[in-house]
Amino acid sequence: MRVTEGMGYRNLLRDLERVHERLQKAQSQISSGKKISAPSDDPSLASDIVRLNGESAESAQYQRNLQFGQSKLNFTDTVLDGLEIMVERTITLAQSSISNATAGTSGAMEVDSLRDQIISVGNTTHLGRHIFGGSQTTTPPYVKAADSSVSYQGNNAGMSVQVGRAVTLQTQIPGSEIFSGSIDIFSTLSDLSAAMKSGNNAGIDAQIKKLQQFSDVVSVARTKIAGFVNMGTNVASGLSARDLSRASDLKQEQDADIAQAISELTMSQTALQATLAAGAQISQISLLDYLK
Amino acid sequence: MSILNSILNSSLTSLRANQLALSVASNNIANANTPGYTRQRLVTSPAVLDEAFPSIGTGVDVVRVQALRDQMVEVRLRQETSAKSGDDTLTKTLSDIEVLFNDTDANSPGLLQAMTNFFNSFQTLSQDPASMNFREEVKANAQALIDALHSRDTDLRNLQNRVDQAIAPKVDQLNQLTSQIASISAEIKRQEVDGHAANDLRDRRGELVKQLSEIADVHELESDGDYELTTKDNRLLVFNGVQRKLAVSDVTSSIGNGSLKANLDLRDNYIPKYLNALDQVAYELTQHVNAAHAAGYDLDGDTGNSFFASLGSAADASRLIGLSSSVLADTRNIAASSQSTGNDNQVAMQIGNLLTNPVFTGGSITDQYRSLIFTAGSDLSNSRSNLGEHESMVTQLENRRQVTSGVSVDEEAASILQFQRSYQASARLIQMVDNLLQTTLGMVGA
Repeated sequence: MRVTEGMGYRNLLRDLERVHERLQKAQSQISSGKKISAPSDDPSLASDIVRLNGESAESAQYQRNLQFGQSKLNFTDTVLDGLEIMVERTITLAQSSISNATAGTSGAMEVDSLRDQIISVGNTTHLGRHIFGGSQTTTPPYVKAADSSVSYQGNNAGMSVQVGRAVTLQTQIPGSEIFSGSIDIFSTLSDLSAAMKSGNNAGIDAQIKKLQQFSDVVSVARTKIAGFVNMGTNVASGLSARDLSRASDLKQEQDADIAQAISELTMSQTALQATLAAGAQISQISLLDYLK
Repeated sequence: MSILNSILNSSLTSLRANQLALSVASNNIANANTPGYTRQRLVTSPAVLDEAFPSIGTGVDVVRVQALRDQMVEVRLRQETSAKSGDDTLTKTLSDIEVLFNDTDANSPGLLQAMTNFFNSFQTLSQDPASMNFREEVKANAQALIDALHSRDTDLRNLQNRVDQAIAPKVDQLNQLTSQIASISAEIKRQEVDGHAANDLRDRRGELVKQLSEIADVHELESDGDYELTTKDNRLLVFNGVQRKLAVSDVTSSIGNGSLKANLDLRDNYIPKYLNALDQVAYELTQHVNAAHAAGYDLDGDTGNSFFASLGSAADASRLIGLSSSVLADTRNIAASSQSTGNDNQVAMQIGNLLTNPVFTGGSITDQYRSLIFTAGSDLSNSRSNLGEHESMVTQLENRRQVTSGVSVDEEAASILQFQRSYQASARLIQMVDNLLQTTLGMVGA
């Protein structure tokens, strides 16, 4: 085959281009730490990476929702704990007024004040929102009328948040399941106070039974909340486990093999040096050098 | 005497032929690096026999200067040049487009991130549907998503315009080249009628046709001294000295390859494809969010309102998408509740879940958008690998062209040496004949 000087230069140029391309690719992998920098580098890998990144963002939102829900549930539990103590105190007051009629009037006054406290427990807010009014979060669920009777203004909604693709976490229990559920604590307390004032021991006794039933109601509600918290914890550990495995997937798909990239870089550099050195030799010798 | 004269004559033809051969060689060396130059060679043959002495020739005849051209390689080289130049144009513009859809980096803001933020802000709103802060956040994220869609739409349309505006100048360039080719062809015909091979003009024409091939694929046909240059649908561009101008309106049907074809493809196929996919995303987003939103109740217990301004169809959806006037006016009008009273969060959750809900064409909205990323990425990756392939082909063919037509300076130097010696020998011969003649003349003088 005839080989001309022009071929040598053309091939040199093309080879230099290729070596530079390889060098640049290895360099960008090392500096970015990423296997690919654009979808065209590997479209299906890019599509996977985008999916994994999207899932991370999705999971982060679930975790934010979960934190919010758990903080609200834990807060509710503390509030209900306080409510139980108040109910205990009321029962104690009622029982002591049966044995001691004179304690009745002062006891009744304390029961009235406890009733007011329990109304405010029913109107507890978390981050400025009422937690016992169902989805009525901006208005107090328990309103004391002029005749001191208390009515429930809320509804029965449970207010869940999304904590997984098909998983929701209930974040509150409506007051209609606690304060004004099977036992209306407010009318019970009014009746108790009236019975204590009048020394109606049978009436007091009847209300004590109701108070004990109410204690059960509160305790059931607390068990329910504990169940929600427990579920939240499970979901949280599931989410973080998946975050970990996703992170490792992402790392595997996206992160450049630095050792490989560096050896590729070194190899390309050597190739570049060799190409340049060889290029400098092209046509150094010519027949014309020998013609006298 | 006549024999001596005959030697003198044949030596003279040799002197002339070797001079010519030397000038051909020097012309070759001079053009060693001229693009499109074809190596030339002096073709000689023994001169016609002298009738008186049938066995002795009368020197050397210069037949012609031959250009060593491999027509097959030239044709393929032009085809590959067209393909390479087309892929080059395609790759450049597709790279610009890819940037718009590069969501591979989780930390760089892209359309996907805007989408995720938008739906997540509805999830946050579901924590406290009454919160005005969360409502403002939803609105801000929706606006960011709308802006992201608008800017991608604008960028794609700008690219489409840029590509479209490049078509007319390319056609002008094509017509300029064909006009030059026509005038050179006329000149070639004029020269070759006399039997002179117009090698250098042919080289110049070949180079012009190669430049033309970068813009569009053309076919050359030369028979019986007639030269034709046509497009893929046999539209005549040049016939001998006559140029037929190509009109911009004819390019779609006439151009099958080259950078002009790439521009047409980008304008009519690639960019509309991406725009349609983007419009589809924007349209389905509007439809699904609005459907859920309209069924919900806002803070004032109103229902039936849209979140995004309603769109009639997917056409131009990514340009037209915007917030509805009610949401724009007041974030109280964002419907988060499924009940007319209270601050239920069902609708906010439902809209937030649209991020992963597979109700869109091709799965969830992220799946749908991901397929656009994939398409844009693989279009570019394909055109890039085609470019690499055609570049290699062009290099290979250029090398093959060099095998036949390239100038080797060493070879020319060797020829020069050869012709130089031959010239010297002929000169010596003339000197010798001169000596012989003097001897003869001396005999007469004595």
